[in-house]
Amino acid sequence: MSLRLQILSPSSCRLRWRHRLRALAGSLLLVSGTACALAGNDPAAAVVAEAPCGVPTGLLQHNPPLRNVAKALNGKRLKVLVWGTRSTAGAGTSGTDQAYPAHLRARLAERYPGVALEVEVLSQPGQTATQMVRGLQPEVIARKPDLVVWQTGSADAVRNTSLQEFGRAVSRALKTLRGRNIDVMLMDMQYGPYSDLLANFRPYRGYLWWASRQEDVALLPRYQIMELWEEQGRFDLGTEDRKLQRVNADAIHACLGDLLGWMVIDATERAAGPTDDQR
Amino acid sequence: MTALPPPSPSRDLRLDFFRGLALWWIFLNHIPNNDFSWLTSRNFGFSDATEIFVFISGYSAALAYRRPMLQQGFGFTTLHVWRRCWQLYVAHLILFLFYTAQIGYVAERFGNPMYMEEMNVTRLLDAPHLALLEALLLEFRPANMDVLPMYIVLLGVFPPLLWLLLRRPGWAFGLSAALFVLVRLTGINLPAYPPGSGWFFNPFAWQFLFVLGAVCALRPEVLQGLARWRRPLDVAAVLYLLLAGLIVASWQLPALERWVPEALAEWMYPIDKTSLDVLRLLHFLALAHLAMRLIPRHAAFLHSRWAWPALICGRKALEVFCLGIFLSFAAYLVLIEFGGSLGLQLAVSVAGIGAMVGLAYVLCWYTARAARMAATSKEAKAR
Repeated sequence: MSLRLQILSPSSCRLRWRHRLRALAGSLLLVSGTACALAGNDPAAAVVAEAPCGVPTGLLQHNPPLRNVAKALNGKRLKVLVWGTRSTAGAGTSGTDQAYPAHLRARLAERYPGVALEVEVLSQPGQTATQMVRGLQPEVIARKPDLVVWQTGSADAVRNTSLQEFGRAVSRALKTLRGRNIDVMLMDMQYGPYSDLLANFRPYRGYLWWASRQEDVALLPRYQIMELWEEQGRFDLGTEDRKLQRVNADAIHACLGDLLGWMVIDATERAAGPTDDQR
Repeated sequence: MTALPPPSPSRDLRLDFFRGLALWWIFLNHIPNNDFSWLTSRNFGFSDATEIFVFISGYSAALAYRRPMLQQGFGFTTLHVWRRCWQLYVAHLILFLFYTAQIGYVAERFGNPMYMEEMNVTRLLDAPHLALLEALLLEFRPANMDVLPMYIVLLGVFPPLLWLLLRRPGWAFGLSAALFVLVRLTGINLPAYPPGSGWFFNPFAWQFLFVLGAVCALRPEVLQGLARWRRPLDVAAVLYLLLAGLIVASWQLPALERWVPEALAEWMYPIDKTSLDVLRLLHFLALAHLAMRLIPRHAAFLHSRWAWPALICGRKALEVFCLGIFLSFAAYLVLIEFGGSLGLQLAVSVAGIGAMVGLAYVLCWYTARAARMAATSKEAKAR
């Protein structure tokens, strides 16, 4: 099973208990002190920068340049398609205008004034990756986006479908989209204090992580980020208060939208810049 | 401890021991957010407790049904095996019931639409009759409840396989290996809901490990034939386990990830669990080889009080497995209700394993008593 688990910023050796235990698991094989020292000496890790909402940039390090977005912006237009399941439509928030795509739009509009900006949302509630990919041509490519933000994996994990099929569907779709000169960003599942009860996300997250590396597209690790927020005490994800639940959902979506915007802008500028980042 | 009958001398205690250990690991791994699951084998290599469970299940199924097959014939043995399948099926449905109740409780108590709608739980709660139908057909297998359906399918087709294994072991093994290769090449799988998707554990692939276990049980001479390659096998196994350990550690420590060559990663990932990736299979075999080398069949350790709790759990595997799944649900609820501090995680982990050992002890005691009672009444009748 290829998977990448909760990793705080690589430069951080101040690990909480959970992370300490996990590090212990690793250290039985290697002296983890050496590993920490290695990470500490690394020039890339030395930059302790923060993305919006206290997310360490280490979590968003894999963010390949978005060449098609840069090209579209040169033509003073940009079309983004946010393609996902029900959370993309803002499940639990006070309305679709509070869902993360709206915030992504706001960030992009702010950064690129004077650009004909279009952010479209395609929500296919409860669909597995395989089901979503069936509509790739008529639903996604036909809309001619420059960038697709693809949120997937929740239904697959809940349904406990074959990992192989899930991985194949994701990789095939990424290949097709990139072949059509459409940039892609992936987004994985939501973390919740009791979501592990409903599904085993680990292996599916592992596949998304692997597909993002293999096809060289960015992955917003929503699960890890939300887990981090919970640990930081930024949001109370387990509350029973319905009103607070909605307030939290709004705030989380705002943060996710900001993060996505941050990633898109960062990757676009690196594509447009004179020196392509060799990351 | 004294109430238990001594195991028959021919019984390989290592089977019970490692199966018991695998059951504990499955329990620990199934409690989400449990840091103590980091003590289990899956964090040090590619394979996990599922491999141990399936291999030993194949091994013990072959041992258990060999004699009925030889003495009572094919028809009787088939019914005998299917009766066991029925027990497993009932166990699966009872677990499903507990699972549904737990979901209902969480939905009622927290009911955050941000999760409930996204995760499609509303479907389970809105249309339970459909979910029930799917569960009866083994198509709806919620997370952590998919080992048992796979085991039911494997055991269900075991009688003809055993028949062939006893007569033409080479053919049986060849067929099984061919099916495994076919699955690795084509990815064929049993259908699941929604249409077009397959099982999380592909029975067509995992049967190979089950059959491998059965072959080891029925043809120990094959293993003895390998004895002259013992040294090179030891070295290869140790090297492979170390390498796998490093790769797995690189998933945790980004500093290590850089050292994994890109070509290797390209070739290796994803390490497939659904269809039993060859890397996983090799990892399990290496682990099994070293375990057998380090703990010989008649090791004193197996008779010590330290091995005893795992040993009795392994002997009552089905009951302990079901209890373990149920307890992992319960432990999770406790962690949700009272906050998942490390102390509480330790408490639920220890309590859960304690309960599993307790159940196994009671069952062993009861079956020993029942057997003794049957023996005495038979004696009385004979007089």
